Amino acid sequence: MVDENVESSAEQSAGDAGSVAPRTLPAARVVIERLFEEHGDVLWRFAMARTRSREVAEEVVQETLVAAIRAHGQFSGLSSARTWLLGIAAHKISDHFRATRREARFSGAPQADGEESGVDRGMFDEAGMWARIPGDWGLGGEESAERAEVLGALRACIEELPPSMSEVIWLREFQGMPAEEVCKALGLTATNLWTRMHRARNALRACVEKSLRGGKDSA
Amino acid sequence: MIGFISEVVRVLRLPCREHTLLFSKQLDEPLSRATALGLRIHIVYCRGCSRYRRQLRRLHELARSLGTQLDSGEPMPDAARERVLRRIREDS
Repeated sequence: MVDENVESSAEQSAGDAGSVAPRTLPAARVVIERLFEEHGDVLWRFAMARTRSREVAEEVVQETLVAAIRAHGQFSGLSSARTWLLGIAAHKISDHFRATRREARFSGAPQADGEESGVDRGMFDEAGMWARIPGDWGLGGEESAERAEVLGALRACIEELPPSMSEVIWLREFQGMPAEEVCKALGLTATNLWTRMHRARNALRACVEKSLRGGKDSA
Repeated sequence: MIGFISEVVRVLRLPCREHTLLFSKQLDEPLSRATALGLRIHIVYCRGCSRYRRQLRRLHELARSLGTQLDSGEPMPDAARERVLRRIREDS
């Protein structure tokens, strides 16, 4: 299961690494096996954290490597190889969630860049001013208790995001990957990434708030 | 100086929806000093934006603390690693 987007993104990233790609699949496989030796555990932890399933994580790692081999990638620096592989893995995980129809649960959420964001619907009035002020999370209270509560909500909410949002949140927020590298990994422009990050953060914030309020919508 | 003040005033006049975009962008890249100052002034009197910004930053910080686990933690099991290697060799 290798989609064209991944191939194209992978080839583009391999090209960005500024090196010559191997001409044959066996030669590419040797290169990718070396990268797997180096970055396999990182790929595994990433896939496990996202999918929470050993079986699916193994499948994601395998499909990531197959896509990388077919893209004939070869790298001059290990950090760019890691970025590249994580980007392919992010696509594969998104494919998995799409296949399991998680995306359908968010049919109201925008999927394509350039669409009007649906995740802040109801937050603002027609003039763009607050129609519903964000709830008070009690951030001034007991630090450790509040932190644990928000952390718990955050863990649950990241799993609820549609794949197009969770992949940017995982790479940028959770992994702290520089914005430029996320763009390369996912084949996004800086503007697309910025827009997608904003939507994703909005969705995450709204989900955490709802969770902290016991599932009730804020007044 | 005039350009600086114009930018501060422009930011102050933006609707809050636009401010939330800038708060998010600020987590990814530094804003100009004038834009950042406009936002800082705005949150002094806007409760909605002040809370939104604080919550966004808190989530950002907590996500980072959760996300440092890729370099440590459970490695890929040897059996899984071998299965993957065997399959990709068969595939290519």
